[in-house]
Amino acid sequence: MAITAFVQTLFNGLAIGGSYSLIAVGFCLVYSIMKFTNFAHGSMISAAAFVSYWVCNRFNLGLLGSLFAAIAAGALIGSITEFLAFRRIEKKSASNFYFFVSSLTWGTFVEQLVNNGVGIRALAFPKFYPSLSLKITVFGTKYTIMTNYLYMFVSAVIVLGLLFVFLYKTKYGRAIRATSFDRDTANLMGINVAMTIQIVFILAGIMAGVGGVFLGVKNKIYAQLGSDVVTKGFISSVLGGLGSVYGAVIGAFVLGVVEQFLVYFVGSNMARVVIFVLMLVFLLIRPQGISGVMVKDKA
Amino acid sequence: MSIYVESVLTFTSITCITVCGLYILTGLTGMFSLGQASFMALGAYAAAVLGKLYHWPFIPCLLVGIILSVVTGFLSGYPIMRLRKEYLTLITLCYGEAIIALLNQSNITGGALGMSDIPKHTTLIIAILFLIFGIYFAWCFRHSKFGRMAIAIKSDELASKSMGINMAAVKMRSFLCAAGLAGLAGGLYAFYLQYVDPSLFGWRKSGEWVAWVFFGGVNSLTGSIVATFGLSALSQFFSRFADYQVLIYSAMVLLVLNFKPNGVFGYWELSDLFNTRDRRMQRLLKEAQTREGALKHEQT
Repeated sequence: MAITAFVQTLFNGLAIGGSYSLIAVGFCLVYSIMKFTNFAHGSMISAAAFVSYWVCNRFNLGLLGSLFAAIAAGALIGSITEFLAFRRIEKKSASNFYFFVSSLTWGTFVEQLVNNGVGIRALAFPKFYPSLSLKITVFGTKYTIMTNYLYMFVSAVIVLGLLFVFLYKTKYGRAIRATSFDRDTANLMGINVAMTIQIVFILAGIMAGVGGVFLGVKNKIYAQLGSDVVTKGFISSVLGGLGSVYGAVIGAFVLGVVEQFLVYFVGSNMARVVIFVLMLVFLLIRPQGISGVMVKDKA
Repeated sequence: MSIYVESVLTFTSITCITVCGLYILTGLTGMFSLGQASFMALGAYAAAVLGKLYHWPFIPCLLVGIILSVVTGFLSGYPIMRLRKEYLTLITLCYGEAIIALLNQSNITGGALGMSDIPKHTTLIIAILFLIFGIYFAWCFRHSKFGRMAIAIKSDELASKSMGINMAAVKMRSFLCAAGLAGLAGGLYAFYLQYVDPSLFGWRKSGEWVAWVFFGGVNSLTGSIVATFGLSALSQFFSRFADYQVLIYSAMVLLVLNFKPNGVFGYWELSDLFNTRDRRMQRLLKEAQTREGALKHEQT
């Protein structure tokens, strides 16, 4: 493997890891607070991307405008999801597998709505960038970088940075962390748990929106867009340690890079198989994930 | 009986065999698998390859399919059985992706185009016989020592662990039973449809089955089977309106989950009509559930 190819694959991996990390973090925030795997996350991605596409076409927006549209749409979809699919079950304090089935069904529902809206053809965003790839010369070697990947990486880093500031520097962030640590105690301490859950879903929706736009530019928009990539989010958060936001980010970047190298060496189909096997081996050796945090039942 | 009705009934019976496995895994043990369809894919492809290329007879093909599902299920389940139940869902999801990718890649199975001209061995009668076997199997499992251990784990992992139940072993047993039944169903499927391709076995299918089981009532074998029969037959009859039909049935499942979380049938079983001992057990279960609910209510 020549050094040019190596650097290029590494960069592609990091950029794709960026988009995975957005998905993984959105999924992981919900997991950390509600303790169930939110399978509606994929459909939130497709729905946000679809709404953003519609707004972008209607008002002739550029990339930034579409991103903001997607963020608004994602936040709205997140809060609707919480309200319609989980609020009532949450009030009954039912066992967490009802949440899981509810998320699965809600996901199917939204995905089908998007499917009816999009139709059979996949939609493509208008051309956002003047050129599809950039040529950069470093130390006399030429690298070709996809413009979309560059923007994807940069905005993922910005969004994640803002998220961490929110989680660790604001009152609401502290409420989220407290609720995810122990919901009942947080409630006793005067934290409005219902509102915190709502905020978490809105955050997850925003992540889904940003991820959705870039994935939409990369792969076009179709109803199953979200659920096709959401597996990567799950794998990343398992690698990072289920329920840890830091871990999910690191896991996503590791997954992105490993995946790109595997695609380079063994092709995209075999890459999935190899990643599955690697994940099993990793879980066997280190079940608590990279971050070493494990969610455990309390007596 | 017209050929059309017969085919709908056969496919539904085959789906119900998988659902018997889901009842063991989800209804009794409280775990979710999104890989049921891919275990089915393994069974189907085993049947297709052995039956078409090597001209094996019917039963050995099915057996190989079951063994394949169980062995791969064991390998992928082994690292995570001591972890939280959610891991199984995620692992089986990725397992499904890996199996589909493998089938798309491999040359023997015809890649993405799939295989056709598989000999036809399954008839409606055979499918129903196997379905009866599946129901009997799930029923026996539930009333055995293993079934009771599984129910204990479902309601409280920590408590059952401290009672000395080997949690990993019980979980693994349920998972493998579900995988084996799915493999069997896959074999029957391939021998009936005479054609297989990887796109038939995506994880959405497994998700759909989970929703059906919950619609009928996850705690009742009768409920799971009846709901699967009803919804799966409905979805095949109305396949022309597929777009709206999915919307309607997911809305239905959401409503049932929100307003009647135990499903349409709750804890009711068909055998309750004849069996008083069973009715007692069911009443006890229900009482335990209400107590649990009250406790949780107190806590919050």
